[in-house]
Amino acid sequence: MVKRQDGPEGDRAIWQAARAALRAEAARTAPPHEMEIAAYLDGRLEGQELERVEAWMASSEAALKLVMAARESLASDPGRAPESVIRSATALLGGPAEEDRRGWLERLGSAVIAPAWRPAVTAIAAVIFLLVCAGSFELGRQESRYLAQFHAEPSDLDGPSLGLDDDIL
Amino acid sequence: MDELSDLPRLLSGDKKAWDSFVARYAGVIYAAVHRRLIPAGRVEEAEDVAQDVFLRLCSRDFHLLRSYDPGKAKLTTWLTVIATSAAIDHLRRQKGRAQDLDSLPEAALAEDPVTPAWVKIPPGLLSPRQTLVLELLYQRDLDPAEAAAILEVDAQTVRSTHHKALTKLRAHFKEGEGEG
Repeated sequence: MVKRQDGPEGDRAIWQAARAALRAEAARTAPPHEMEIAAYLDGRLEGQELERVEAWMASSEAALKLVMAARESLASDPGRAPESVIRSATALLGGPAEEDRRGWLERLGSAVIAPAWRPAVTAIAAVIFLLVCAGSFELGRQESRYLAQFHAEPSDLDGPSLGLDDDIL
Repeated sequence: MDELSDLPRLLSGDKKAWDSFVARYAGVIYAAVHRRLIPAGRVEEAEDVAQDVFLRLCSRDFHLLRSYDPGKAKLTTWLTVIATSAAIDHLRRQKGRAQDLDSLPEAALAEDPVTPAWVKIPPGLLSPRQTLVLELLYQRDLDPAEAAAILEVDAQTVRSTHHKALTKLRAHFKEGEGEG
């Protein structure tokens, strides 16, 4: 039974009588994940999402502690972490950086050619490449013509050779 | 510089992006962990816990970091939540099961099996915010301004929420008395 009292003590007594049931009801809500808690702290939740986080905070001492501590941390200047923390954390990820994984030619190119000239240099390289291809094609065509002639000589003599052979014979 | 500009490179496993991420956010993560460990007198464990946070962020192909949604919250806020949560979990593990009430399931703590029937509160009688305001004012003994700072509302809103909540509870108990 809730004793009838006036003023703040009466209010507290009412709350104490209801607290267990209120917390039990709030605890029925599924706990939010870290992304939702962060959104709550940034003031970006509303409606049911907001209610879910506040119900979780009302139901759990640990939840309330988490939100209060996170809010305090966000309100203060974080400062710099000890060097040892930075060193160990960077060591967690091995392997070369994306830049180091590029080929040596690409790296040499980016080191030698100024960024502003890179599109022009690429275009010139493409034109040179096309010219070389066209030249090679033309050269190949002439050579095949020459070879065709060269191979054609004996075959052209196929007919008369019979005669020659006849002569020899 | 935009705090998210390096994120795609980082998630592709680029070492340089990881190093600059660490350099940029180590302070945030360490400060959040440190702040939570101070009251427990376990500040010397802050480096280990911060290291665990970084490990969680990059393990399983950045599984945790991939769950970050820039549309929902700032990266700094999310990392603060992750780090604070890691520090709380660390303290909970250290305390052990026997003395730590926090380690018990909240539902088990909340529901009293011998609660008289008339104390049962119908679902939805109070909104989650009303319940939370009462919790902040009475359980944590905060004044309305302090509670307002946690909820990021003004103190007057807290006072009015408190008043409405108590009015509903009084009415409920009065009804219960009438029935009893």
